[in-house]
Amino acid sequence: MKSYLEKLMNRESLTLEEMKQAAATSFSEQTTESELASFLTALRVKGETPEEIAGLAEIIRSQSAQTTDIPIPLWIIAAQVVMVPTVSISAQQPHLSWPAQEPLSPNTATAASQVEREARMCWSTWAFPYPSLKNMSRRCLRKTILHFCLRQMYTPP
Amino acid sequence: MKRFMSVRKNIGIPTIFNLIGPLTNPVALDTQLLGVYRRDILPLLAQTLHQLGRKRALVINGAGHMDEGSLAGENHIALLEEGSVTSFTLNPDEVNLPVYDNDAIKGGNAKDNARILVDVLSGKHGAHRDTVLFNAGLGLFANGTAESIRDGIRVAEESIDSGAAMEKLERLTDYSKKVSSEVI
Repeated sequence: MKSYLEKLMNRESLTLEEMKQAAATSFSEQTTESELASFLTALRVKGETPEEIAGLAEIIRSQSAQTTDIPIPLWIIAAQVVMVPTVSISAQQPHLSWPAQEPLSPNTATAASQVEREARMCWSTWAFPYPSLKNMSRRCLRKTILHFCLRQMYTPP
Repeated sequence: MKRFMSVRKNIGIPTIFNLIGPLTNPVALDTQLLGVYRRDILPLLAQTLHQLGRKRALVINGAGHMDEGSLAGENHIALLEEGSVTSFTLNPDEVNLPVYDNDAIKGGNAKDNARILVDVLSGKHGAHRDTVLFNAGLGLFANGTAESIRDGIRVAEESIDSGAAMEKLERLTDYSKKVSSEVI
């Protein structure tokens, strides 16, 4: 980090790769807050170049791909490949039917275990039977589905 | 990331983070239409989009400093094409569209906006339609589907007047209804 900071203080621009390196280092807690503050200020005073902006944008993009709040694509993969439930409702009781389960590819298995982990968290905060399945927010629906998945995985019909 | 945010807050001056918001789209794009509130950074952002691998991109600050194309007057544009950036301004009359005040396209609540959308796609004429045509034209030109902004506007006009745009909306509505009923 120090070498990048020195470069900036000399009014030299960082290359795309240097910026990616600097951003990755900063995100990994190896830098102090004062270093970060100096880094951002030095960039601003020198004037940010397209390479520097692009470098930071790429690192943020790759970081956020790893730490998405709710792994929507994951559960879609899991729901489509691992288990596509047919849901029917009678007397406010959801009922799911599942196709026979096939052997899982490593990717699908990882996805499934993620779904399972998230569903386990939902398990404790969500109570059956659902008061109203209509007018549910999207987030609630997702929770419900995850809950369904878990329920079915542990107590198959 | 959290530490970065607190540092940002503490130093209180605009930093590089103020520039990268729209550049972190998780989808890898080949082309992009990007609207920004600031006029002084259009070429900088176009160059950045080049660094990020976009083949074509159009960065615009609209009349009245809107972050999209506006028919209220002069639009400022930086165009990335084959690795180089050119800057120019664009007035509504250059693309054969009338001038409207930005107030003429004010929206409202969700219901109002839905009605405006359906009106536009049903072919109702006015400021909303022309603004949609303008921005769709910019998008098609940014993408390279249209050879000029005027061409893009023509394609957008055809899409609305032939009912193709409305059909797309209907398909989208059907799909989202279908998905939600399957889920419930």
